[in-house]
Amino acid sequence: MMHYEFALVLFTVLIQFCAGLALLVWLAGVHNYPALEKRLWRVILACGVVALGGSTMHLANIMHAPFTLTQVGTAWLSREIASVSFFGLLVLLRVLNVGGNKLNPVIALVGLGTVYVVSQVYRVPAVPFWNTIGTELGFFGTALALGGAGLAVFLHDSKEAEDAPRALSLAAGVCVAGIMLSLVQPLLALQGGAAALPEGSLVQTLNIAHGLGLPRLLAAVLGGFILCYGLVRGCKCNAMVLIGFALIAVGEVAGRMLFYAANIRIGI
Amino acid sequence: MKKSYAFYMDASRCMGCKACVIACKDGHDLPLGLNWRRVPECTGGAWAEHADGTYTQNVFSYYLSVACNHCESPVCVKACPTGAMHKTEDGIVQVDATRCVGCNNCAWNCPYSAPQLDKSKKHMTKCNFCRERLEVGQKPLCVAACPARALDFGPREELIAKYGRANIAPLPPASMTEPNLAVVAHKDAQPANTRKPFLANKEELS
Repeated sequence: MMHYEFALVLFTVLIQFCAGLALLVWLAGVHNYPALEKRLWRVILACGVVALGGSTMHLANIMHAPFTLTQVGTAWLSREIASVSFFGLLVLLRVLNVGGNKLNPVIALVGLGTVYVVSQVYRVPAVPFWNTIGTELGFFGTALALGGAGLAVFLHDSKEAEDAPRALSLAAGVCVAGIMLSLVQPLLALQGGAAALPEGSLVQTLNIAHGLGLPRLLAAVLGGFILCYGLVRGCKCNAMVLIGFALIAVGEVAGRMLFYAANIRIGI
Repeated sequence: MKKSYAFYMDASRCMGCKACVIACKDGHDLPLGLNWRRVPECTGGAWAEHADGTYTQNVFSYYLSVACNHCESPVCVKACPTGAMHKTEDGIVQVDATRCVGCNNCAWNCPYSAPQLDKSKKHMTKCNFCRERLEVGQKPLCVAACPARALDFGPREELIAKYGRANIAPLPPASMTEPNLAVVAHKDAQPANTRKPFLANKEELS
């Protein structure tokens, strides 16, 4: 049976989506389309609030949550919470239009930093499936895949940005690169697991994973294809782009569920 | 500086009766599903049939008794975001229930599965070396209950210098956390980095 905590799946995927979208807002020069930019910052803030709120469902005693900011010097989990909070604060400033679009590159870089910090929480030597470079690659992959796909959806839907082929190409390119990065993660994880875990644990994990692994792969590849096809064809209907985004998101969520299910430790 | 202790386990004497598990569970009133001390059962080997119709075998079985090892490099302490998991002056790793948020990060990091979430108390719990008994000169409950005298405890530096740190499968390599657990190995003990599956009571431990 597969064991995972949906609160953490939701938290990590949404935070990576927020970071990816913030990066694309900066890289694609979305400040040239003020109404769209305002809308995107609101979406990022809303997703961030849902992510942070959802993550508290994983805690046994939420009343002690303020203590989680006290070990920034030693614990990656403490750094994760501090980093996500700082990122959220910057996005809130942008939503309130404090600081103007000069903040965009800062938010994008803090977002990337946050993705890195979140990945370090899972660099656990006792969990060989997690303790590989695949974890960083997978988390950045999710950020780029969902950020790129998200921006493509909003650009395609925006009248203001109707004539923005460069931004659309960038979004699609980043999305495809993200999907590829994200799909590298399980391969590196399996390599790490195969090198360190007893043979039985490896077989057990593969048995758990095979049911969701193929749908995850299909959703990501098909989603990327449909999204790009919808953009390249200059399709006026948003349905294809939306379906592409939805499939990519489903693929990333399924991939993260598999990631958490692979929490099999060395030792007892 | 206060005296610090290590657990000692003679695997050649242990018969896997689990009196230590029960004494700990009973003494600390642990709920269903929570066991601070656990006994992995290790079995392996096979029978081989030869051309002349005779058989030889290399089957083996041995037990370990493991709780929190109050490690020198406790990864649970390093991973704890609230500072609830901490090492005291006398070397005991313990949970401060007034700070613990119950995020389970210590449990993910510990290769001995020592920290465990008590859902009714809403915080992580683990072996505290029976601190309250040590303070009045008594042995930890698990040690006192062992009928084979396989389990004991003593001054950390002395035991580790004499026996070294536990480096036997199915435990992780000692280099990961430097456990304060000294083990006299069973004659058939497998090295810690073995990849052969031979844990016979996996379901009981998980």
